[in-house]
Amino acid sequence: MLEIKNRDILKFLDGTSSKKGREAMRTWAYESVENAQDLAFTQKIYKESNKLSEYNPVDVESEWSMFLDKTNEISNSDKSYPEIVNDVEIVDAIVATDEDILAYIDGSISRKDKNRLELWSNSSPDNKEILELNNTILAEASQMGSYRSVDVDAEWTSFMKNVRDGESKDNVITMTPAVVASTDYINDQEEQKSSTIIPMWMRIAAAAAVALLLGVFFFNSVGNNFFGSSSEDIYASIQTEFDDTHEFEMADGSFISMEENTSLRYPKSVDGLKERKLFVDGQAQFDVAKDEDKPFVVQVSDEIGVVVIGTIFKVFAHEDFVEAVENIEGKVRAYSIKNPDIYVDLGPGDKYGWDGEKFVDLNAPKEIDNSVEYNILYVLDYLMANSSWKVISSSNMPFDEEGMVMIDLEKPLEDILEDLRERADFDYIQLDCDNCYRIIRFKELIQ
Amino acid sequence: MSNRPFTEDNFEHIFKTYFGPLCNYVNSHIKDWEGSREIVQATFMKIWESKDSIEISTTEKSYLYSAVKNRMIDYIRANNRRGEVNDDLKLDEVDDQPEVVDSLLLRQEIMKSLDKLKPKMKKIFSLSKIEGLTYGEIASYLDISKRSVEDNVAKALVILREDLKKNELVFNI
Repeated sequence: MLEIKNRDILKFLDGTSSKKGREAMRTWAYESVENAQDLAFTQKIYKESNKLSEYNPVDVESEWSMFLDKTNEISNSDKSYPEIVNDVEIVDAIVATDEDILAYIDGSISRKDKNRLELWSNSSPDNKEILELNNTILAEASQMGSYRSVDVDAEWTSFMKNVRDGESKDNVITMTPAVVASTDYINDQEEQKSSTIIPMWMRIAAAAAVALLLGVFFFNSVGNNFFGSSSEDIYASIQTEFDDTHEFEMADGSFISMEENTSLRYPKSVDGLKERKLFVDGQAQFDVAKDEDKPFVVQVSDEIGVVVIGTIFKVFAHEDFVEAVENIEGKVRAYSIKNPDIYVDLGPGDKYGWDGEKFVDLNAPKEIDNSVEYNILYVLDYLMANSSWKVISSSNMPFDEEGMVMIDLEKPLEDILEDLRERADFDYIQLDCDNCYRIIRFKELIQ
Repeated sequence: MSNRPFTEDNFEHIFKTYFGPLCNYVNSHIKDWEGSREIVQATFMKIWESKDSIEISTTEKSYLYSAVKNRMIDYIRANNRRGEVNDDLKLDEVDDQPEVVDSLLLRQEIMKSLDKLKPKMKKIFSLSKIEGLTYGEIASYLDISKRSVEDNVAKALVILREDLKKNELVFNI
């Protein structure tokens, strides 16, 4: 009988056993089913153990009592609940195939299948949409005889020509037609796909959400200016001189602070506009009034644009330095006008510049200002990225820290970590070298 | 084969067994812990309301998995519709299989079994596996030999294995 020590198993799993050790392990595992099972099972535990840092423990007792509270609310409130169609079960049990849908639409479906399909359709708005879409397609298809086909390529070329001609007359819109072309064209294609291949449609719809959103913005801004009334009716302009600043409130309630030597064009009224679009050259801060139906879009230069929904942010755009966007609060997306696929989402405190090709993180762990507050996780990232120290942590730390701290880099690293520890839910230990620390997620482990 | 797995009597047990893994599963997609909790809570509530009529032919585990997954997909769709552009919320990526829950369930049960280890052994194992310290780092931090660290981790693995073997939930995975 071969004897295998616990250590040998560990070494085998760590991949540090010798060739002889590995062979012994295999021999041992083949000796009996039990050995083989034990090894396989240990391997499984070992594998998952290594991913424990990704696992968020849950306080099931408190979750359960929360759940009970909710069920009590229901049984205590006397009104009887409407019978809810058990969508869970439907998803599990009811599947509608393309054949079912077709049979349903052309009326050849059996009574049983018909009930099932109706249940399926009623179980979610998306299912309903699919059924309706199919219905529409079929209805349209029967009308094909009277439909005259269009050479879309030719139509497109001619459209593009109009766009280009329009652009040269209007020096405000500096957006390149290529952008309009690409985004809008893509959307068209996605829509065409969606109306023919149903199972794909659902997937594409989600994937295209981002593209669509941007596409719509571009299309609207061009549309307003090229095909709508003259832009001068809609827009007002303000220019600040070298030694003055200007603050004002836009018609929608957004508050704008312009720095010196800045020019801004903004809509006089937002009524009837699909979006609130502004053009800025210089430096300005925007405190945007929330209106999710009318996205707030700022074109910083002919290079970058900013999309935002209710937030505070600053833009800098001067000829002699990079265009930068700084987010102070809320959600902001900055994108390249030439290629909307190049974009960056800014969280609070983020600041990005445009180097002509890509967005550059101006807050990147290069410098931390002693007089500015930073998110604790940001500070940790900074400490970990700074090569003069060695601060490490396990890979996927599901920290959920929202606290802000101000740190003084003149202080010793340990003092900085100590400050952080007091405010955040982590701990650290010193490793065997100078300025080497490891962040510990579960404080209780080292107490 | 079909049965009614959800009863008033076993509901608490099922809830407490699967809440954690399911929450972690949702969170891996939507990266929003509170949102994940709400989705899983709401799913259980829905099941609770119709527990007497739910008949399934699969296991309760895969039933829970699809229920939570469907709700999560609705949540992602709703978010996308609202125009909250969030790259983390991509429907395309939700193409996983019920087995993902197995992994998470195993992690939860390992966490539970850890409490059965002696405190020092638990500490050493956790520092190694949860916090990712090397054996050397643990040795110098605790001021013990590297060999002793290895022995502890090795012994812990065996104890966990024997404990989890008895755990039907895990051994049937």
